[in-house]
Amino acid sequence: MAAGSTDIGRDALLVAYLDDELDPQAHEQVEQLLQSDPAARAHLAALAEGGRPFRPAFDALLDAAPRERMEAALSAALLKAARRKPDRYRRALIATAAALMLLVGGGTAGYFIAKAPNLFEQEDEVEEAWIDAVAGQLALYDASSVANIKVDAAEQKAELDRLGEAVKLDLSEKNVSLEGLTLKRAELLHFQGRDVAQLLYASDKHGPVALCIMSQPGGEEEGEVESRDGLNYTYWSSGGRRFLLIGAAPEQSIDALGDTVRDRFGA
Amino acid sequence: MTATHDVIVAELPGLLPRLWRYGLVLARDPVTAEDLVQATCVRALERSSQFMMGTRLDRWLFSILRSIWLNQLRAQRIRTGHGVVDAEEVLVTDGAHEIEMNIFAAQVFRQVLALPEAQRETVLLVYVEGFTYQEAAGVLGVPVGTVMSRLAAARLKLSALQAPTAADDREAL
Repeated sequence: MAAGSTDIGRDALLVAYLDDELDPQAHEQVEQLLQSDPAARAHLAALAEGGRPFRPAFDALLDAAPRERMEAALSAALLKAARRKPDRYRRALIATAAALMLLVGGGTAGYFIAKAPNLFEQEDEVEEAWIDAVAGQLALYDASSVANIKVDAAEQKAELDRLGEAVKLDLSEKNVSLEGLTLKRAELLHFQGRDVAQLLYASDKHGPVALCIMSQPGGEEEGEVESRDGLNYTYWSSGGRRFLLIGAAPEQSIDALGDTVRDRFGA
Repeated sequence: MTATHDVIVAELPGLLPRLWRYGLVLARDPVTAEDLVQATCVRALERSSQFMMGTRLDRWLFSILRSIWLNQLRAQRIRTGHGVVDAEEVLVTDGAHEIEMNIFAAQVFRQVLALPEAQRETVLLVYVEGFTYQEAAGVLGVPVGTVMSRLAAARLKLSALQAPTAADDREAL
């Protein structure tokens, strides 16, 4: 190397000069510098020497890319995305269903989603509609609205017992307590005629988190964390039930909480 | 589906090799590069509504790939002890095939891979992809001055090495 790299600012200007990235005024200044300063000329020579025919060398890599496998992976991602994005008409219906869920029932007695016959005939559409409905509901809460829910320990225990009976799981306190979260509400909801145990938590750091358990088999066995409507969620199926854990917490937190729940209720 | 989604679906297949090449320069490992491309596709489709029509899709995808590398895969590799790769020992093979390049191109490639990560990705974006300094700065999330100083540092490092000589022989990296 003909010169050291003591003057980073000058070298940066010189490289921009070589790459023709300077405006006319700065270009002119560099030309003057080069005329008057031998050290600058030496740096310019060193920088020029460090040039390579980068593009032709790297273009060889394009042919080596595993194009077919990547296209196959893209197709899989597209299918998944299509499955997760129902068409506009169906989305509108799902939004309506989510709104109904909040209107009917009310209070702590539980929400009831109106039946929508023939709306969601296929299994994966049940999953999609359910996730959309819960996401729509949860999006209406913020951290303070959940934090302000008053909890009566005895009532909560009785409600958990009732929910556990409905979905045939031990929903005692030790099984439903989650690190960093405070259980605020436990209620039995219904979605398309199926019982849904929904536990609503306040988070120390983030917005609300909901754990929903539907007593119906089907769906994916292992869920990854995905996002919808600004919420992260993980969804899985085991032991004849479907589980959905969803909230405004970061992806890693939802993932870790999902692991905890999976461990407790059997994967 | 939205218009942005349609644009992404139409153009993404043609951009896969370039995304993989960027992933290879970052990770210095073809398998990880492939994982990066896959994760980039999934995220781009999930966030298709965030792509702004009229802007360049390749830059948006490069930013996504880079973010996945920084936030997920790089940390994961460091945790599992695969964080340090000697550029001289990078085996550009996934077991199914080896990458064939002429010796000259392979030398250039090895020299660039031996640069620090920030320098080699800047070299890729500006000198290989042909991005302007401003465009590269946008992908990298740094000021233009940082792009300039990274390129200067990279060139000075390369100038200390023997310049590759042209040859027609081919070799597998």
